[in-house]
This record gives sequence, structure tokens and C-alpha cells, in this order.
Amino acid sequence: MRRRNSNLVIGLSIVGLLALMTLVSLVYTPHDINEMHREHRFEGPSARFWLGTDNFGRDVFSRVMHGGRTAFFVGSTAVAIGLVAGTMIGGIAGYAGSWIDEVFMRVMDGLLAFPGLIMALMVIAIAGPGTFNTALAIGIMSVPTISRIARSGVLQFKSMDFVQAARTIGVRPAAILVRHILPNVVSSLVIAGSVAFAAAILSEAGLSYLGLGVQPPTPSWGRMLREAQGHFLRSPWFTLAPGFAITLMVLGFYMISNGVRDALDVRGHHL
Amino acid sequence: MSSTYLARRIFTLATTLIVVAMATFLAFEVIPGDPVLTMLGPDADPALIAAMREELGTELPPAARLARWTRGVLTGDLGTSIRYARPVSALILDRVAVSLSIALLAMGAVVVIAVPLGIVLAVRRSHWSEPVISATIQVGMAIPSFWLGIILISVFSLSLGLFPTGGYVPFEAGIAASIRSVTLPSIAIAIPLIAVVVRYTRNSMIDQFSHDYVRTAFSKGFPVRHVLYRHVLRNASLPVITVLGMIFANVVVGTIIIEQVFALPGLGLLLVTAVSARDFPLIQGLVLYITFFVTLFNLLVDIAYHVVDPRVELT
Repeated sequence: MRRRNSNLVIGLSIVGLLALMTLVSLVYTPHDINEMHREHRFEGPSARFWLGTDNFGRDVFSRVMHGGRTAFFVGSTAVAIGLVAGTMIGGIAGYAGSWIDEVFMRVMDGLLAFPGLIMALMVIAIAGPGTFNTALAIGIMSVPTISRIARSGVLQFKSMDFVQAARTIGVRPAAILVRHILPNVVSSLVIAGSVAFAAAILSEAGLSYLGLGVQPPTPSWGRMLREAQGHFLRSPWFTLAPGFAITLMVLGFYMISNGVRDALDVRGHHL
Repeated sequence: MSSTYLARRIFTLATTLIVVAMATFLAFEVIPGDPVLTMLGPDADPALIAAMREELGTELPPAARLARWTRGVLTGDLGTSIRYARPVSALILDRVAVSLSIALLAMGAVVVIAVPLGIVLAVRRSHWSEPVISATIQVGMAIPSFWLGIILISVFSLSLGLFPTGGYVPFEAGIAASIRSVTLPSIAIAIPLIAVVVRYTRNSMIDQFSHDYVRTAFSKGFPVRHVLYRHVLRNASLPVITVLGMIFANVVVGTIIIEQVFALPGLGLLLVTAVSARDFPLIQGLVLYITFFVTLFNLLVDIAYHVVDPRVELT
């Protein structure tokens, strides 16, 4: 029992701490994120600059704190887009059945064939870079997977007695989907959502590292790595700090998803 | 392998490829405003704008454009890059070797390291090691490969001078030097994926241990080694084949970012340049090419799966 919940507890703690750090950044950062301390470039950690300074003498810790906002914003927006669109498509396909299901799912299969980042790059090529477009691109990326999960959940419950009963007394299909079936698939959607959140953080970091995601002056952990590249030997902290932040956030969401899975599936093997 | 299986598999492949091609075509139809003006800017030379409209066929009705695009795809003509003023297929052909060697080396490393490691970690289980293995795997999966790449360059290239800091050495210039030029990027892509595959292999093996046939084999007096390699491994290999197919897409995505880290002139760097320059024909061609390639690889994996276990039918 102890082991089973440790994933969830640690995962929630990590994400909670990062969320706290991000909330604090709304009212307080040790330094202004854009203030350049020119006489203090490439410094290591000190009482004044907790994680050292970057190539312009900006405080790395303040920028990492602020980068949390970008990560949470892009992550939650992308997951919201993925969950809403994916659940609608999967739900309708699964509930309607017949040719509607066939057409929807063939299209989803086709979209699933695009490696995630390729599709995100295509969306950005069309919509242009920027924080919201990055979230949109990453959200679209997760729609096919989530729609499949939603569909299989709906198929599982569609023929059950309580759904049949609701249908018999004349409940409309939309109401059946939302009020009777959706509550039963929430747990699998929570798992899918936290995996998608972890993937969104990695994709945002990757896109911003490529210069095609979040644009300056908004600080983003991926963007910081782009700026830090080539300065590792001079100032390792500048490179290590944003990378650790990304890894921790992704790890937190992976652990949450594994924890939820463990809590629900007694038989399943856990990591 | 039954021919009906193959026929049905190829039919689903065809529908997937059609959806992929249509989606790639439609994506660039919905660009708000005039794509030619988006690419060239509003102050461009009118003659140039007219020439590009002619070239891209933006004046044609959508159905005619679709026909043109389909004909091009089927004949291998993916159009002409605006930035490079060269055929997209020629640009791809020039750079595919770089990406392919990174991807193959990374994929090879994952198979050679992760599968045996997963087996060992499944067989030698102990109470105390469980949380350590679990934590290591989850951390490994969470590390961004481009961050690893930056650290690997700093340590192995800049400090120790064991590898070049970037750039690609073609095969013709010496196989050893060529492999050396893609080693660090391949390792950077492989590490997070090794974590994924170790996890699957290990879980798949452990799953099999609880089956009756394992107990039967043991009670018949077979040695542990025999039960493991003749019985368990054979059954456990199926999910492993599936996951190896699935991670190929991750390897491909990994090469796109890692080529930027190591300044390797492959398809990924070409795609990133194309997106920055809004070179739509080049983006369209690259997306289609890469996605087709990944889809075909998955078909091969499915067929391999079917060969290993003929019971498996298409679902």
C-alpha cells in the first residue's frame, strides 16, 4: 500500500511546489527578470543570485520562476484543447457508431500517423510562433490519442443497462454522453491528461529551444536553454537550472499519471 | 503469413497515407490571407508575386490544386522550395543520410541496451531495488534530449575533446569519422527512450511470470534459464516489438531537435529552417515525406509482429 501511493504523493508534491513557485513569481521575484547586471555576468550561485546569472547578467532563478508561468500556461491550455476536442470527437464517434465512427476514426488514425512535433511545427508554420500558438499546436497534437481513449471508454459503457435505461426514458444523446458516460471515463482521461501535460512541457521546451515556440521577452525554460547553449563551461548553472526545471515538471506529471493508474488498477504493474 | 492479413494491412496503410496527404494539403489551404503575400511580404516585387502565384497555382480552383498536388505526390514531385529555389525532393535526398544515420544509431542503441537491461531488471528483482529502478526510469523518461545533448557536447567535446562539437562527416569521408560525428546526438536521443523501453520490457517479462505456463514449466523441472529464454522471453517479446515500433516516431522527432543542437544538416534542420522562413512547399514536402516514412516503418513492425505471432490478427 505504501509503495502504491508514493508515485502520486511525490508527483503531486513536485507539481505543487512548481505551482507555488510560479504563483509567487506573480507577486515577487528576487530580481527583475530583464534587469541586466552587466558587472555580474556568468556568475555562480550566491546569496544575491541564488542560481547565478546568465550571459547578460540577468538573475537565472527569477527567470526560472517566471518560466514556470509559460510552462503552466502552455501545458494547461494545450491539455484543455486536447481534452475538449478529443473527448467530443471520441465521444461522438463511439456513441454514434456506424459510418460516423468509421470516418472520424480513420481521420484520427491519419492524424496519429504524424509524429507529434511534426504536426506542431506544421501548425506553427501556418499560425506563426508565439505563446498561444505554441499551446494550440501542442493541443492539436494530443487530440487523436485522447479521442481514441474517450471512444473506447464510451464503447465500454454504451451497451450497459444504465445507459440503455436512460435512453429508454428519452434522455437526449448529448445528455447521456455528458451525464452518464463521461463520469465513468474521467479516470482514464485524468491519466491521459497528465501524460499529455508532461508531453506538452517537453514539446514547448523543444519548440522554444528551436526558436519557434515562445518568443522573447517572455522567459521560457526551452528558450533559456537556447540562450545558454555554448556557455556551459563558463557557467554550468545557467544551463543546468532550466533543464532541471523542465525535467522536474515532466517527472511530476509522469508520476501523477502512474500514481492514478496504480490507484485504479490493482493488478497493473507499476513503476 | 496469410495474404488476407497483408492485403488488409496494406489497405489500412493506404487509407492512412491518403488522410496524411489530404491533411498536409488542407493544412496549407486554411492559411489566413494570401499565402504568397505571407511568404514574400506585402512590399514584394509584383512580377515576383505573379511568378510565385503561377508556380504555386494559387489562382487555380481548390479542386485543380488538389489534383495537381496529388499528381505531384504520386510522381515524387513535391514542388520547389522558395528559399532554396530547388526541387524539394532533391533537398530531401541531399540530407536524408544525416538524419537516417542518427536515427538508426539511436534506434540500435535503444534495442541493444534497453531490451537486455529490461530482461535483467525483471529477473533480478529485489525488494530494495524496486523504488530505485522505478525512480531512475521515470527520471530518465523526463529528461529533454536536447538538454542532454548540450551537456554531452560540453563534457565530451569541449572538455575532453573526444567527439566533434557538431557538424556531419559524410560516409564517403571515412566510416569511423562519420559515426563519430553522429554518436553524441544519437546517445542524447536514445537515453530517454532507453528508459521507456526498459520499462516496457521489464513489465512485459514480469507480466508473463504470473502465467500458469511458467509454473507448469518449472514444475516439469526445466532449469530457470530454459524457462526464461524459451518460454517467457518468447511471449514477452511481442509487446516489446510494439513499443519499438512506437518509439521510432520519437526517434524521428528527436533527430529534428538534436540536429539543431549539433548543427547537423539533416531533414530536421531543413524543416526548422523551412518553418522559420515560412517556405510552405518545403514544409509540406518534408512533413509528408517524414510521416510516410514513419508510417511505412510501422507497417514493417506490424508485419514482424505477425511473423513472430501468427495468431495476431488485424484489429
